[in-house]
Amino acid sequence: MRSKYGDYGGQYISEILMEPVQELERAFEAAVADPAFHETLKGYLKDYVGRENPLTYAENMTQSLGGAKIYLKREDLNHTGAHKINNALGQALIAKRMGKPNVIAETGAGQHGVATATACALLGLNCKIFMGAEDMARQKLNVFRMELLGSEVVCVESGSKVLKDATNEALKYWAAHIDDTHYIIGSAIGPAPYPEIVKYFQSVIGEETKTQHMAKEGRLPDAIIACVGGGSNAIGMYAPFVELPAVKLYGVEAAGMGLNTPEHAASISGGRIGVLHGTKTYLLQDDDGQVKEAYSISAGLDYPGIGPEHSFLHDTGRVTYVPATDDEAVTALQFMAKTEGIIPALESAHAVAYAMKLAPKMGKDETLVICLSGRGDKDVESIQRRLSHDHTESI
Amino acid sequence: MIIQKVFEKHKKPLISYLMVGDGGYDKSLAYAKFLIDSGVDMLELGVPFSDPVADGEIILKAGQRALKSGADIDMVFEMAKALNSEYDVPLVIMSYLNPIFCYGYDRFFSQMAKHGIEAVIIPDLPFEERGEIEPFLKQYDVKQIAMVALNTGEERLKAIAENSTGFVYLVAVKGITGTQRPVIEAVGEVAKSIKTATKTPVVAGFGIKSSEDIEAFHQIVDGIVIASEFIRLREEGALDSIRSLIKTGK
Repeated sequence: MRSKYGDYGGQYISEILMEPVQELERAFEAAVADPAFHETLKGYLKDYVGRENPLTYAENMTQSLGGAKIYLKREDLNHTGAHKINNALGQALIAKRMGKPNVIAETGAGQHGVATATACALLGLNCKIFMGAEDMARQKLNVFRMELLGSEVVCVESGSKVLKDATNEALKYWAAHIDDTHYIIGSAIGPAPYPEIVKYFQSVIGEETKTQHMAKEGRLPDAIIACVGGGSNAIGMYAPFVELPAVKLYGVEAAGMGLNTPEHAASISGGRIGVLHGTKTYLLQDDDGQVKEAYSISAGLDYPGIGPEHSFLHDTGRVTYVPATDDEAVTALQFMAKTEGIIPALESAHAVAYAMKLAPKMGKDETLVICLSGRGDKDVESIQRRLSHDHTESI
Repeated sequence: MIIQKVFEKHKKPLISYLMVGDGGYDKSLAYAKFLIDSGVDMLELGVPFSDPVADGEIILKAGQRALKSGADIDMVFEMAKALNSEYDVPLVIMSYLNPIFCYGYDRFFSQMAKHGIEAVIIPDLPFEERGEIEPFLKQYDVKQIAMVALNTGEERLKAIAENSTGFVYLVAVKGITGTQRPVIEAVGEVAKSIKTATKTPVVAGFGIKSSEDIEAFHQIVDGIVIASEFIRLREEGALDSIRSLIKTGK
């Protein structure tokens, strides 16, 4: 299995985790080679997650922006409201195959936590979700949702009390409970084989898109845009297109308050190469290699690293990574809500924000696919707060 | 003194650890001197890191305090220089990979050589990734201390042991530093396996706290590391307890 992407990726983990990741790699390879596993996964994706989800032609947006024909890949219509369930379910099935009754996961905003809790409830696995104390305070509803689903939410008080600290604690807990516990990492990050596993389970996004676009347009799309935090929806969307250079690929990082401020989460646009959570990749860090806290209005992009394959795809130039600020994302969210009647997740709104810049520059005979990785229900309250605040300020 | 000499000279050397800059440079230097004066045979100088995934709360917090006081790799070399001018005790650097990567491998390992620091322990650089620093280890004649865990498989254990230099660091708990209790029987089994593959001395660390622990470990390994427990005692101001534990360990 692929463990490096150029110089990126790898297995920078403590010795105690080496055997478990190797065991995971063997279990994953065996599952992929087993037709029965594919049948099971396919069945759940269809009848439980609700795949395939549509590739929606966004006619109003297309007309309003006056350029490329815009399509939306509707991961927002999945059960639990985002692409995260694709990976959580796939990995939970792997945990079952390995005979591990317990599952742990890290979560920032709570989306991966909810998806994992859901998969565990469905498959009868015990589930513990590690979440930073700060994030728990900000995302009370998702905490309750995970508890409703029968999971235990472990409050992480160490470090800066956000996603990276929750990941640290999950790794530590895993080290101490490797015999009966599988760790479901939620993004295309972590030591090998995680980035490959996550890509495998998320590549259903790209595969469906390719087939659907072929059916509608009789050809490949000209451009694809996805938002990138750790980058799991993006890497899954790109997977079948990476080897097809005619398709331009874009990844949108969260620029928060702006790249010229410390308040952003753009690892590629504003970071340097480093090693965190088992992988070598672009990182937000200071001169001494201390990892910095990331910031974005969208908690799902709020991670100081990025999947190692993204770092590689950036260096090779195959994917163009661009930033979008909080303001741009919020504007894009409002625009899409009003024109299409779809409220995107704040994460996905970053992709929409760049589409608003790119589409008008493209020809009317060209097509542009936006990966709508999740729905915005979870963000409505914070958008309301922000917009009423903005209103007050303008008075 | 070179590491090998320590194992020849002392029957069961006691190794300790400090987070450089914990309490500020001066106080952490004084603590290093206290440890050596109390009889520690080898000292690990810890580089603080924001995300120490192999460490429990005690070392994590020590690292945060050190970072607040401005500790960095240069401070570690400064301390090494100060200690080397007074003592003949081998120093080993313990750091996660990222601070070293950021400092620059060539710069880091040349500085190690310059300060006569023989070995480095990097908990997140396993055997499979040794290629990352191998050329620099060779160029500057520096050792990377190999780590073995209780769950390390037979094949990998053999490869790790055969390639080991200095000493083999056996992680005595299934987990992280300073939290769980070590399982003596399991440690003994693994120590035996290592010894059939190499003559390199085997040192156990993680979770060792009491004179009973020390005595039990002396039966099965060539030396021990006490880190978190001493940091905890130092925080409590119980330096006497540290001194008497070191005495037991001699």
